[in-house]
Amino acid sequence: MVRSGGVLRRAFAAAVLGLGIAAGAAAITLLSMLLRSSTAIGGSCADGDAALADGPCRSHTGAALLIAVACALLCLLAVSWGASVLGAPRPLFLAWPVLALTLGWNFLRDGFDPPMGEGLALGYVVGGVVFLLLGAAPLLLRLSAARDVDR
Amino acid sequence: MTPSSERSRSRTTWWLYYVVVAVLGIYGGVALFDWVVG
Repeated sequence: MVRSGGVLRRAFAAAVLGLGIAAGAAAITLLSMLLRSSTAIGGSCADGDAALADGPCRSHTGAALLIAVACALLCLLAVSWGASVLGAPRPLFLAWPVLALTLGWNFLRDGFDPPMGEGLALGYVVGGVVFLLLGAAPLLLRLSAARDVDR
Repeated sequence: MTPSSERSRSRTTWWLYYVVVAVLGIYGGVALFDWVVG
């Protein structure tokens, strides 16, 4: 009886852990798609006075941002709890590098092939390089530290 | 004590699980975005 309870608890923790990872991936996907939808209309928008910006905003982007934040919080809590119950590896250190690399890639893509039609959007290229550095640096540091521990 | 090869296999299994659920999460994120923003 106690043993089946333990198995159930581990199965539940594995499901929660998986849900947390999926929520984290969904949050990063949402943020990436929000960035894409923003750069597609020139990087700025306005609902009231469209003369102040490049064009009208897409609807419900604020709600999508709130959902992304909720998914990120769910990921943090679910992965922390699930990994500690199961003794599984904690992948939370990947969250920032994956987010920064994804946004950097989006900026670079829009920089070299701007959605508004210019030849090269230098601001997006600079932003893309900065985000690539911000994502790659902690990832490389962490991987080299892990390699030193394994040695 | 758990042998290191078994521990390594267990870690690999976990990371595979993470990759699979992350891919599902990406599809979920795309569906959520399309549903909310349209």
